[in-house]
Amino acid sequence: MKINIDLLPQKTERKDSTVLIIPVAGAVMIFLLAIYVTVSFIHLSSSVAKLGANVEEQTAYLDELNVELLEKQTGTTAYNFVDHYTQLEHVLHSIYQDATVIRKELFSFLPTETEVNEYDYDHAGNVTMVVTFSSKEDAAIYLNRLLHVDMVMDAKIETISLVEQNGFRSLLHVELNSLVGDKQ
Amino acid sequence: MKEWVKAKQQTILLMILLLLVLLAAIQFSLVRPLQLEHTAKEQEWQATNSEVKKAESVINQLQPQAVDPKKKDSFFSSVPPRAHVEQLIADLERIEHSANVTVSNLTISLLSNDVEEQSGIQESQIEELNQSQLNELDHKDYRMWEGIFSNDVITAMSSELEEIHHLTLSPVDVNVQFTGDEEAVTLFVEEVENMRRAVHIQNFTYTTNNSQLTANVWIRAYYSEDFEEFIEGEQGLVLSRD
Repeated sequence: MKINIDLLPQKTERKDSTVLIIPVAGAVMIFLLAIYVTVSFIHLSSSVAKLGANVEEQTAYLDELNVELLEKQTGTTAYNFVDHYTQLEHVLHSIYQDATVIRKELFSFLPTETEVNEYDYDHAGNVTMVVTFSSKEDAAIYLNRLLHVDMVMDAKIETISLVEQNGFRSLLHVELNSLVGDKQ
Repeated sequence: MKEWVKAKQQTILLMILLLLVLLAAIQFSLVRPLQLEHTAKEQEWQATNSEVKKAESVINQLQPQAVDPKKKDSFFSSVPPRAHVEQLIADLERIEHSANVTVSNLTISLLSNDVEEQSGIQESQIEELNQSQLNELDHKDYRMWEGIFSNDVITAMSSELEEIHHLTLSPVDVNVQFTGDEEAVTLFVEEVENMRRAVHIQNFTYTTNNSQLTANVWIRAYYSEDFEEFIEGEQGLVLSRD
């Protein structure tokens, strides 16, 4: 009896199974990828549509809110009338310097023994005065003083006439900053 | 089977490759653009949401305003909702006595300021206005102030006027001729300037004759009809002799 023992690996069978693995693995991979692509497409399509609808709805809501905000904030409303009134009061009280304060300031530079015969002020800052000075030099001193006052933009003497034995009547024009903002 | 696979091995591999290419093409031509659109929509959604929250927060912070109960009676006296000429005359009468001057003549004129009526735009129509119309409305609003104040004043006060330039403001002009000594005349004008009612001295002139001044002062007071609807209850002006 002849015993034949083959200890070598069965190469032919292995080669056969390798031949099957590649197409099967390929088919499975293709199948899985196809599922992934299909699911992704369906999921994304529905998600995009849903998001689009949400954005549209939210935009419409935002428009409503903006209209509501505009209605509450445009013009004078129950939501801002106290602020607006307070601001209006503040504005009206801080436009012009007081006429009496300006007059007092201008008169504070008058030399002694001087009399203001006529005074004309307007809120635009124009002052015209007729002043009787004891001398022409006093008139010059007053003009010089006025030209050094911060609020005075321009000052000029138009006429100086002798009216009494020791009096010289002078017509002065003063242009000044009458706005509070100008003073600041 | 094995034999068939073995025989068609190359064809099968080629088909697998082709299917892979097809899937890749589907991925890049259909799925990828969808992913990008999805990302864009998500960002748009977040941006809109953020704007909605911001607008809601602003609206929630807006509360109807109320006049301080302690100041309720005098709150609108500085710039009343009506001309209240009678109040002005009464105040001038009081100041005349306290300053010790003699008023010889009072001339009162109400100046119309109907720019708003000319524009024909009501608040209820705001929703229908586009931006250019709103700008036009803004321009018309400024005309209400331009009719009363010089451009220099409006320019100087522009930051303060930013919130209130739309208000309707109407002037009441009062021209007062009076006589008194220098101290009395000055006091009269000073007290007029310090009245509760907001006034501006438009013009102040006088001539001196033997220590007696003959003076003329042009006072401008204001009223604003915009605040009429916010006055609670019956607050009509009632003058009494006291």
